[in-house]
Formats: sequence, structure tokens, C-alpha cells
Amino acid sequence: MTVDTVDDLRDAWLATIAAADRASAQLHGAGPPGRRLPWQDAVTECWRALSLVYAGLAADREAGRPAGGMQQSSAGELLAALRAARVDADRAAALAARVRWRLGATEDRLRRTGIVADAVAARHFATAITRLDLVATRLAVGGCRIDRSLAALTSEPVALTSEPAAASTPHEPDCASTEEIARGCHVARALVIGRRRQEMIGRRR
Amino acid sequence: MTDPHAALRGLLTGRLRGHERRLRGFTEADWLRYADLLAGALLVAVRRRFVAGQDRAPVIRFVASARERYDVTGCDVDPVLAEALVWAALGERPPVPDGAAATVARTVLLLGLLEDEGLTDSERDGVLAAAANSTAQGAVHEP
Repeated sequence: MTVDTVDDLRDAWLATIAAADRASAQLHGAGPPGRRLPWQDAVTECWRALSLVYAGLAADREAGRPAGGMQQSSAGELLAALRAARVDADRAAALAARVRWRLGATEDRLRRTGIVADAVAARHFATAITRLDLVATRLAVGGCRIDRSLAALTSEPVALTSEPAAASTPHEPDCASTEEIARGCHVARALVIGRRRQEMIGRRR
Repeated sequence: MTDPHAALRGLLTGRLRGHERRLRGFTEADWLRYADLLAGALLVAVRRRFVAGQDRAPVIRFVASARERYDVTGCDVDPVLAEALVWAALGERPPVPDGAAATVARTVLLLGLLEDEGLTDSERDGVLAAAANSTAQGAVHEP
């Protein structure tokens, strides 16, 4: 993990502000030029939450280091830190998704005006959207790594879902073996082959 | 481009021989990276299509559509698991553990989402690059 990811989110925040400044008259809820828009706060929250995720992962790595000369947190503190980081990752991911949706709608609206300044603003939004996708992916991958760390520490699998309808779903261990992943890949490949055969048959008719 | 990245790209572009060839050479670390990459790509694709607080009906319809296209027998993609993967990607439910069934479902969902969007090659590569950059062990590269 590096600081580049945090820089990306900061750039997304700056791009959002620049676009909002240029096209404030077109945006929902626009007010006086200096008014802070809700999604700027959301992107900032993403930045802060992402930093917390990295702090949780760093705490996890710290626990694996030799004890000589370095203070280590207790297992309980580590678990609490990782779980808090996981919650923050989920919250940041939800925030990023909402911001992304708003940016996408606004970008679409700006592109349709035909005004040059709006097109410039739309490009800024598109860049921000790309960076938010990157942030969301990194949060998800970080979250998966936290889940693995938690499972390794507690030896407990993560629950699939709380929905009663999912009670019959087969329960799988959190840390899947590579054999299971490989088996899934081969089944998926067979399904793709089947789909392609269907398409070829459909074209011949 | 790493082998897991190239393998997933091969699957998504229909280059199945190359995909299979790369899978055969996977180390244990490569399998785990592939699973991470698949999960990351699915998350990006889900969030392009759906939003947090999404109504259930569109998700149910999409899962049914993806299963209809790729799971002809109806036995390989558990609809409950598939829906749980979508909701987990939206942050609405707990994450789904890795496993064979989850890998199959993630792949089918990702293929369905990308097919529905009709992405260009560069857009699809952008989705994979965003996921790949997050799974890199070392320095992160810009997409």
C-alpha cells in the first residue's frame, strides 16, 4: 500500500471542486459560489476513511514483525482496529458510490448542454469518476485482506448474509483454498464456452 | 501486466485458450491475486450499474439475466449467492467469502455486467487496470 492511493483520492476531491466551481449553475442544490457542496464532504470522508483502512492494515503487518525493539498491540486491540477499519472501508465505499452516481448524472447533464465550459467541467467529473472507481476497488481489496486477517486471527469464517432467504446457501470458509478458486475458475470457463456455443448456434439459425 | 491480470483479461475478451494456458501455470499466490482481481473488477462493474440503497428488483432481474445467459442448467450459479455478491459490492451486506461457488458467480456477474454495458476495449481494460493496480504488491501504477 502506498500514499499514491490517498493522493488519487485527494486529486478526485480537487477535481470535484474544480468542476463544481465551473458549472455551479448547472448542479443540483447550487448556491452562492463559495458554498460547499455535499459531495465534496463525501469525497473528503472517503479520503479519511481510506487512511483508516491503511492504518488498520499497517497495524496488521506490525503484529507480524519480530518483537525485538518494536511495541506490538495485543490480539484484542488488533482485532478491534481491523474491524473498525473494515467498517470504515464499507462506509467509505458506500460514500464513494453515492458520489460517483451524482458525478455521473451531472457529467451526463453537462455534456448535453453543448457549452464548451460545461464540456470542460464534464471532463473533470469523468476524471474524478475514474479515480473514485480506483478508490472503490482499492477499498474492496483492502477489505478482503482485512477479512482474511480477521479470519486468520479468530479462526472464524465471515457470515455470508443476514437475510433469512440465504439460510440455505452453502457456507464457505472465509480463507478459500487455491484449489477451490481454481475449481471455480474452471467451472466459469466452461460456462463461458457454453455461452459462446449458444451464440454461434443462434447466429446460424 | 501480471499473469492473473492477463488471464482474467483473456476470459473477458473471449481468448479462452490463453486464459486456460495461464491458469495452468498459476502459483498459489497467482490464484489468490486472480481472486482479488476478480473481486475488484466485479466491484467496479457493479458500482457502474447500481448504487447504494438500490431497489432489489433491478438486482434480481440482472442476476436472473446473467444466469439465463451463462448458467443454462441453473445449477452452477446460486442466485442467492449471486445477489449477495452484488449487495456486498455495494456495501449493503457483509462480504462474501471466497470459494469455488463465489468464484463462478463473480465471473458470471462480471461478464454479464460488462456485456450489458457494451464497453469498448479500452473501457474494459480501464476496469481491469483499476482492480489490478489495487492488487499489486509493490508500487502502484497509474491506470
